[in-house]
Amino acid sequence: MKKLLLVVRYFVLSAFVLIAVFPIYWTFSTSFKLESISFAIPPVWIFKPHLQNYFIAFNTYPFFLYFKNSLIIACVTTLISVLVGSMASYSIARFNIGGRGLLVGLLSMRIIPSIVMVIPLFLIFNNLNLIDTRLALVVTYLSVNTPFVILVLKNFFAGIPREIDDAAIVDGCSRFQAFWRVILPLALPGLAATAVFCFVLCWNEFLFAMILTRSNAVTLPVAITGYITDRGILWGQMTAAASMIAVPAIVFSVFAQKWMVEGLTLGAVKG
Amino acid sequence: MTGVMIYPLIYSFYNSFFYYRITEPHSYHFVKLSNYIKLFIDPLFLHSFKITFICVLSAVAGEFVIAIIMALLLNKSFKGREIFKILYLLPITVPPVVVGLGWKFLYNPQSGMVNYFLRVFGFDGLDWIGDYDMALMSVILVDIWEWTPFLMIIFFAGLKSLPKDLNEVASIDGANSVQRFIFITVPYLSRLFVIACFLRVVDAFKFMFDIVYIMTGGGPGDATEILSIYIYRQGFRYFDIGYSAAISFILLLVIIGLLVPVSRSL
Repeated sequence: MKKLLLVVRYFVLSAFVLIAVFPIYWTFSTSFKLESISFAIPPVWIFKPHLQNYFIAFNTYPFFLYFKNSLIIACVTTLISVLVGSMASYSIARFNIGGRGLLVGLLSMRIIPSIVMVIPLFLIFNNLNLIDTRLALVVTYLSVNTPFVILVLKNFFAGIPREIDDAAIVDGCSRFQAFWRVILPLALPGLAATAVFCFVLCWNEFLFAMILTRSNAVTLPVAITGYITDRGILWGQMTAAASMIAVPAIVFSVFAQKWMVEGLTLGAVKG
Repeated sequence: MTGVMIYPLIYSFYNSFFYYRITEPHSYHFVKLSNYIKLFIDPLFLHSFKITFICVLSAVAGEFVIAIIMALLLNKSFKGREIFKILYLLPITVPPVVVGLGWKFLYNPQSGMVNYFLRVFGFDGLDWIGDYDMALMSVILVDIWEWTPFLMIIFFAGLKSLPKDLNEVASIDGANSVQRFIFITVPYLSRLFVIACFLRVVDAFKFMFDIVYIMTGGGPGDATEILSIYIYRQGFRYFDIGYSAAISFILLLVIIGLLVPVSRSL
């Protein structure tokens, strides 16, 4: 009886794994197929992988530019928001600045749908002549992600005992030195995980990037929609480009999965 | 930072009382509440409001049920549990744009794998996103696929934090596993359920745009025209900034309405 239960458990769990993984696997594997077999029914399971789609994708579009845009925007945003966010969340965790009102305010920024923000932002950036610049996207992402960073980091700082601050100050540190030299290194795992989440959020973001860019500052998720043409979708190249976007996001997230629960629930739940 | 968030909202609120079309810059004028009044007689808005709710609520309900089952199945130590957990989490990490495109490929009526598997098991293939009555459900299924792991991992963490002795005492008193689940696990985790579902509902309002925009663009007809797509269309296709701002504010009000009761348990 116990054995049977175990078998059932494995069976159901494996079925879920198949459902979760298959669509991702299929997108990857299609990117290595030649056009002639990518639509074959019955599907071709075993084939010789080709890189042709990747070469075409790189040669027909300025893919390196899009890659560079995505990378610069995500890195700059992550760096600034983690730096600013860690100071803000440290002061919230230690001195309870702003109290409950500030926390609810930060949370409500996290929940505002992007579509509500994007039209006024478009008009504002248009007036400032900043449409299609990386700066516009960095400013936008900073305002969206920093509240998220503060909320997540607050719990990491709250988990570090106050006595450590006090000891550092007794030993002659200023408040800022205590934060910078003592507390920040202690919170490093949390900082790293938060930075990864922030990076992936920027890397994956689509709506703002679509509206606020035209050609020079286009990021990868927007570029990929270029494969939807009048003559149908260029599936081979599209899946190749999609794989190139998805791989960094997946690798980074798996690396940070230990902290995922806290990141996803803004620290409301311990992992 | 706050200014960057607040200023656009105020600007947008202000605009919602004006007749404002990008294409006719000289006809910008104050129209009092007429953008808001227009909402209530606009059948497309009412339709889109309705399907947004159907979409969000059924997706989150489906995710909730499946996530609990998965978390309970995982909540026992056995070989390979960590690997299962990482594999389940993969869908969350894929960019929504890629999810939309990948599923569009799978849903293809002729060469898509979904229909292929249906036919292998002896069913008829369906036109998943091309059929008016099917499209909304297909989109909801994709959302369930992508976000069930989100709830699963939260519930799993919650189950792990459940005090062991509670369950032991109950089973000594003769409670079976179903009773223990209903009378101990559910009450203990109720706050967690509320928070998790709230975050998921809010994110569904947010992220469904990407998937729907890529997969159907709101179509066929208006079958999947959820509010965020409708706002986008009014603002960037018909250039009616005033009206789209008014719709945005209704959406925002709904979400704030959800936040107020939940914020107490955070």
